[in-house]
Amino acid sequence: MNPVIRSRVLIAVSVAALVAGLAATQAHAQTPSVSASVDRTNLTLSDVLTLTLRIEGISNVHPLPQAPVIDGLVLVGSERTSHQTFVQGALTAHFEFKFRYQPLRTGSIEISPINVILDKVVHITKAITVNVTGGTGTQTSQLQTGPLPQPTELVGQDFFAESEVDDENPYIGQQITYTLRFYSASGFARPIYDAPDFAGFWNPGKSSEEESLATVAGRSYTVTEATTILFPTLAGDLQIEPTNVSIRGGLLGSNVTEYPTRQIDVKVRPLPPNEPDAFTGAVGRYAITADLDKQSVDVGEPVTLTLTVSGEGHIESLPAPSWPEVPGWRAFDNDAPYQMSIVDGKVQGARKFERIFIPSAAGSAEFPPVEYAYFDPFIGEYATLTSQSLNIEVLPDPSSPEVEPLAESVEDSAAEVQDIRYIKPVPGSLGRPENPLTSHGAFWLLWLTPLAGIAVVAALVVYGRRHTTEATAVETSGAARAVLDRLATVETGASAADVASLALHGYLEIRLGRATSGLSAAETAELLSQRGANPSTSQNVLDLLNRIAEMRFSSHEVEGVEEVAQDVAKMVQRLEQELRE
Amino acid sequence: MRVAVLLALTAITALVLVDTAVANDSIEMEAFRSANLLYEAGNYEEAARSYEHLSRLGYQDPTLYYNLGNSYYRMDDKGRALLNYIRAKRLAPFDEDIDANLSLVRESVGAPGSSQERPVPVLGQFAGWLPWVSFNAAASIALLCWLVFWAAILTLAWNRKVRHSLALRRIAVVGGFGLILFGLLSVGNQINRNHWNETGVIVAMSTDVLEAPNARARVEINLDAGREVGVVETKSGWTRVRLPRTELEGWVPSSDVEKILQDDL
Repeated sequence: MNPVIRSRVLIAVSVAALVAGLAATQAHAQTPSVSASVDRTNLTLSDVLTLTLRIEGISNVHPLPQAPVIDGLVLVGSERTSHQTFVQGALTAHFEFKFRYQPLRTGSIEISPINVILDKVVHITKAITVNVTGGTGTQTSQLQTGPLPQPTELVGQDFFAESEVDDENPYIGQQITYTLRFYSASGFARPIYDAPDFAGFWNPGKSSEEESLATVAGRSYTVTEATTILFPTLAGDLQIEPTNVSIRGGLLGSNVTEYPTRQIDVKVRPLPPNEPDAFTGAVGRYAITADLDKQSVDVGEPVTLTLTVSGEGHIESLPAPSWPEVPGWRAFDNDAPYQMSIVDGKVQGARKFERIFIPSAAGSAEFPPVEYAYFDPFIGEYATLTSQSLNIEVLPDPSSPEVEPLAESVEDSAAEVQDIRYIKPVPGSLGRPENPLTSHGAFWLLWLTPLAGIAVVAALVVYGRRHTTEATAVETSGAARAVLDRLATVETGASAADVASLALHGYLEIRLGRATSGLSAAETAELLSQRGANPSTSQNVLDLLNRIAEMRFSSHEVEGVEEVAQDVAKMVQRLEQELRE
Repeated sequence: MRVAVLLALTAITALVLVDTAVANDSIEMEAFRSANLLYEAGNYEEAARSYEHLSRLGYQDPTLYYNLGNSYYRMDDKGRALLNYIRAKRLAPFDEDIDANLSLVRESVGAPGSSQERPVPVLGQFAGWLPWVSFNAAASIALLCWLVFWAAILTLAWNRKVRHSLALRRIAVVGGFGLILFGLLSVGNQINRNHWNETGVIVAMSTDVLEAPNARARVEINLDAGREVGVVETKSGWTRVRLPRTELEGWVPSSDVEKILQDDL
């Protein structure tokens, strides 16, 4: 593919993937949902109707929905609740707007669909119809009805703190909920509080915090409600110590005002006697299932029996069941993982108790039912659950000699019992523990032998090459030195040309490896070229040889005889350089 | 002259030493013969004692362990019988008699097999397929593979015909690396079996595997004689063992388990 086209395709694919990812992200985000409901559809004139507008899937509601105007009903109060909870690391949020209406007439009253604008999208609820019958109730008495308890001590203060538990007389191990409420008439005050240490209770760390609006004693409050789940671990009288809720005021928050809560006394009941045999300490309300991870195993192969206990209660500390013995199987406990969450303020979840069984004989086997007993604090009685029995097939171990299934008769097995082979005669010599080869240096030297051999060969090769080069250089230098020495003794006259001729031919003979006196000019030039001399140098050599020959064989005086020895010396040095290169 | 005297002295000394060794050896062989006679006479307990005596003297011989295993088997001590058959097999992995008796004892104690190791990665499994040879044999194999590998490399480098043949080049390179791998795995397998994955056998008639090295600790499981276990560590008279094929570990009194490797010799 053309690189340009390929790069464009890649860019297009990347953009498409990015868009798809964004779209998927948007799709994955929670879609806001709005619903409306009423606490009753049949009411009297003395009742108060609560219309609840519930918004989910959004972190903030703006603008706030207004109370709808309903023909036949008059608005007598309102309340806003935002609920944010961390459950297993995920934040869930919902908002509830409660509008309280007093009927003004009897008959059927229709609450028209309510329009709520969220993120510029209009959400419309369904219409609701309520039926009002006759009654004489007074409006004032109903105005105080609401989801929040009305503290009697709150008589118009700016701030007020209170705490309570939902059950002051629980059984040991039964869940209770500790609630701390802080009423604030100031919208800007942010309460700070330290939770009590809850001595005598186990706190699974599951807490939530809500904020709502309430009207108490004719004054509007923002109510911050923090709940903590507790499980009593001791029977007897326990106390949850008071806690202080602090409000910072003044310049830069320098003034701290504390609002204490009261101490809470909890009388924890012990579990009743006469617990069933299968009871190991579970408190709550549970169901069980049992299963095996395999339907058939080989002898010696482990199989895991899992008993899953699920329900409502102290999941994290659920005790293991009393496992039944399975004849012919070895068994031991394994992990007991659990999952826990809070649903409607109650700790719920499941814990898987695993027990590993290893069969020692082949055949069919049945795991007897597992019993799991618990104490139900809601009815104050023990309950015993029984799982189903489970069947499994055990096959002979393929890696071992054939093992007859247990199901077969013992007589048959006995008839086939083999005996061991007889002892061996006295050996020629008795073996002693051999010293490990690795403790001998020679063993490791042998490991190094190839590397050492390679190193030696490499060294020899390098040395050989260097030696050859140096020998050649020495030989060449010797030839050149001999020529130069001879030329140094040249005297003026015809004999000088002879010496020069002999010297040059002698040098060329050594360098070219053959006699040059009988060669033609072309042959000499070719040999020089083959040995690496430049063509111009070769030509100069030929010219010099011709000059010397002319001097030697001329019948008259030739000029430049004195310089020829110097020229030969220069030529030899030049050739020495070129041929060496 | 001096050299001749020195050589003569050396020879005499050597002869004395060899003679002493032969004499000692013959005493042990006589003891072995006596043990065999005791066994043949049905006195298995005395036979076992004699074989054990030889073993304590430092002899590690497959025949000695085999006969000792037979003696314990006749005494209905399946744990020690199995232990000695395994020791014998480690020294003579291809001996049919040892194999037969070992299998029989394993069957009689309901042992699932000889695989004591935890689940191992692919390379480890490959090493597990290697023949059961002694450590020195494995080391020799590794060395031989190493030398053959370099011979192949040198042939490749200097032999023009080999160098110019793609097929021969491939054979040299792949075969050479394969040999090296095989050799290293042989040694690694031995080290793993002997040191990193030490095994033992329960020799007590029955022993409780405890959660901690404490007699009052919770019992995890009960093991009968002849159970092959991994030996994790030993301290203060307690040995931490690991059950085969599982991650279950626990403590047993050291006297109830014997390691297959006799490191106390």
